[in-house]
Amino acid sequence: MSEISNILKKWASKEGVQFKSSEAEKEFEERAQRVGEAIQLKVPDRIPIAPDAEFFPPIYAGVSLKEVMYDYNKAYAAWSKTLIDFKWDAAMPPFTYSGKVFEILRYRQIYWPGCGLKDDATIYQFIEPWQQIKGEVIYEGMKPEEYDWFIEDPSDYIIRGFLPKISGVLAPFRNLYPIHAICCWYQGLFESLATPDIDKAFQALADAARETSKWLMSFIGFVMELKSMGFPVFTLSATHAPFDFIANFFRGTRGAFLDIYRIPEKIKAACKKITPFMVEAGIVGAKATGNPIVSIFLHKGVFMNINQYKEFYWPTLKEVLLKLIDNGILPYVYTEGDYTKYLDIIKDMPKGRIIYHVEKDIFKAKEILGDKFCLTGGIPVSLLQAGTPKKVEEYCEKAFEVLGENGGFILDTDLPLAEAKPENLKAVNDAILKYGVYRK
Amino acid sequence: MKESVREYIDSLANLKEERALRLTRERLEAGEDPLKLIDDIMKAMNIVGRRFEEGEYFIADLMMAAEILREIMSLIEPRIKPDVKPRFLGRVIVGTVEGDIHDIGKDLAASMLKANGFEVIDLGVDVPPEEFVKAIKEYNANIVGISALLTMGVESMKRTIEKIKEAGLRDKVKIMIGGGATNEIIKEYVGADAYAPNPLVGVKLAKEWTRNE
Repeated sequence: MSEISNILKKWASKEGVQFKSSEAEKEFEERAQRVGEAIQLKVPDRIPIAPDAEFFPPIYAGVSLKEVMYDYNKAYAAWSKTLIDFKWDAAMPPFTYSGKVFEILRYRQIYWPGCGLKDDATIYQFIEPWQQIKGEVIYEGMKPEEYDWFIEDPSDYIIRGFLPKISGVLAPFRNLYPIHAICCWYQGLFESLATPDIDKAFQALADAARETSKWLMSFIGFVMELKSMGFPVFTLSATHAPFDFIANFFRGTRGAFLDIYRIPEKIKAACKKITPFMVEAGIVGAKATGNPIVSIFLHKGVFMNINQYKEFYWPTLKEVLLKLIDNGILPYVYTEGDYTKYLDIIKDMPKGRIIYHVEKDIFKAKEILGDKFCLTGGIPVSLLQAGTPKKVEEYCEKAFEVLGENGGFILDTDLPLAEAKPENLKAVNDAILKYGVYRK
Repeated sequence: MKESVREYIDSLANLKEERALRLTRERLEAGEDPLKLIDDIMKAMNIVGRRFEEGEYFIADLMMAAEILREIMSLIEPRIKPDVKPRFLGRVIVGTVEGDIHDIGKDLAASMLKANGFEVIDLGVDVPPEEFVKAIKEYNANIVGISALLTMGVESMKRTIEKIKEAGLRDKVKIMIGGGATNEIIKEYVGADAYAPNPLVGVKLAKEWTRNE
C-alpha cells in the first residue's frame, strides 16, 4: 500500500502542464494543497470547495446540452467559464459524452436532447432495461435465463447477447460465433464475420471508434487546459460496485431486486464473476488518466434492507475498494440517496484511504465517519435552486461549524448540480471566506 | 382467525411468492369470495407497511411485494363479478413531470397506493402540466402525486402546480410530491401540500386526506 501522501503527490502532479501564468501555477498549488490536506484528514487554510457541476455549466453559460454533446469545444467553454467565475478548488470534468457516437451506434440506454428528449432538454437520461415510455419498451435487458451465459463468459455474453439489444447497429452481432471459438479454430471465428450485415456493424463500430477518439482527444486536451488555468482535476475515471453494474445496465432495478428473491445465487455469482473486472477497470482508469482518484457512484444499495445490503451489495463492493486501495488508488465513494444506515459498514475501510460523498444526512456521517474519511457534500442543491443568498449564508454558517470541524471536509453539493441560481453559488463562496477559514 | 387465512396472510407478508400464488389459486378454486381474499391482502399489506416502518423491509422488498400483488391480482380480478363495483378509498392521479422519464419511484408509489385500496390513474412519465390538469377534471380526482428525480424536474413541478392553480383546481386537490429531487424545501418552493420521502408515507398521506373529507 503506498503512502497517501505519495498518492496525492501523483494527483497534484504538474507534469506536462504549461501554466497560463505564474499566478495560475500558484493557484494550482494552493488548491491542490488545500484539497489534499482535507483528503488526508488535516486542517487546510480554509474549507475547500469542489462541486460536481454536472449539467450546470451549459445552463450557466447559456448553451444547450444538445450543442455541447455535438460540439465538444462548446462544452469546454461552458466548463471553463464556470470555473473561472466560481473559482472552485478542484474541477469535476464534464461527463457530457458524444451525441454523435450515440447516434452512430443507435444507442438505446440513453435519451438525450434530439433523441428521445426535446432539443432544449438540459440533462440526458438513462433508460432502464425494459422501461416503457409511451407504452413502448425501449430495449430489453438481460433475461433471468441469460444469467448462466453471463456467468460463464461475460465478454461473450455482452458482445453477442447484450450489445445487440442496446445498439440498433450492433444487432447482427447476435449471429457471431461464440468469441471463445477462437480458442480452437480461430479462422472459424473469421468465417462468421463475412456476412454483409456483420460487415456493416463493424463499419459502424469503426465510425463510432473514430468519433470517440476525437471526443477523447479533445477531452484530454481540455483536462490539461483546466490544469493550466490553475484547477486540479478531482477525478477522471470510474468503476462500479459489481451489483450496480448488473442492476443498472443489465437487469434493471426491479429485475435485480426480484432476482434477490427468486434467483439469489445467480445474481450473487454474476457479481462475484465481474468483481475482478471492476477492480481492473479502476486500475486501468487511474493509470490511463494519471489521476489516482477513481469514482464509484453507489446506486442500488440504498434501496435494500440492511441484510440484503450485507449479503448482495457490500461483499463485492468491499473487495473492489480494498483491492483498489492495495493498488495505490484512492476510491471516491459517491453515495446517491440516503446511506445513513450503512455508515457503520463503510467505517471498516482503512482510515483515510477513501473519500466519501454524502447526499443525505452529512451531519450524521460527520459524527460517525468524520475522523476516518474525508467527507464531501454539505450544500443541498434544493437550497441553491429554491433559496436566496441570505438563506444560503445562514445555512452555511451553521453547517460549516459542524462539518468543518477538524478539517477532513470538502464542500460539495449534495446532488450533482444542474439547476441552481448563480447568486446562490456566489453566496456559498462568500460564506466560505466568512465562516470557513481555519487560518489566515 | 382461521389457520389457513393466517397462513395466507403470512405468505404475503413474508413475501413468499410461490406459496402466496399457490394459496391464492387454492382458495379461488375452492370457490372463496375473491373480495374476501382482497381483505386478507390488505391485512398483509399493513404488515408489510409496519415492517417497512420498523426498518426490516425497504424499497427492494416493496418492489417484491408489488410484484407478488400484481401476479395475485391477475388471478383474482377475473373472478370478481362484473356487477360488483370495487370500493376505493379515493382516486389518485400520479405521474412523472415533464422532461423527466424516471419511473421507478412513481411506479412503486402507484403500486403501494393500489395495494392499499386506492384507485390510481397513472399518467406515465414526461407528463406535461396540461395533462395533469386534464386528468384531474376528467377523473374528478382529489389527490395528485407528482414525481421528479431530476433537479430540473422541480421547475416542471412548479409549472404543473401553477397550471393546476390557473385552472381553478388547486383547492379541489391535495398534492404530494416525491422523488430524488424533492424534499421539504422543494415542497414549499413548488407549492405542494406535502412531501413523501417514500411510497408508504405517500399512502399515509392519501389515507389522511381521504379521511378528512
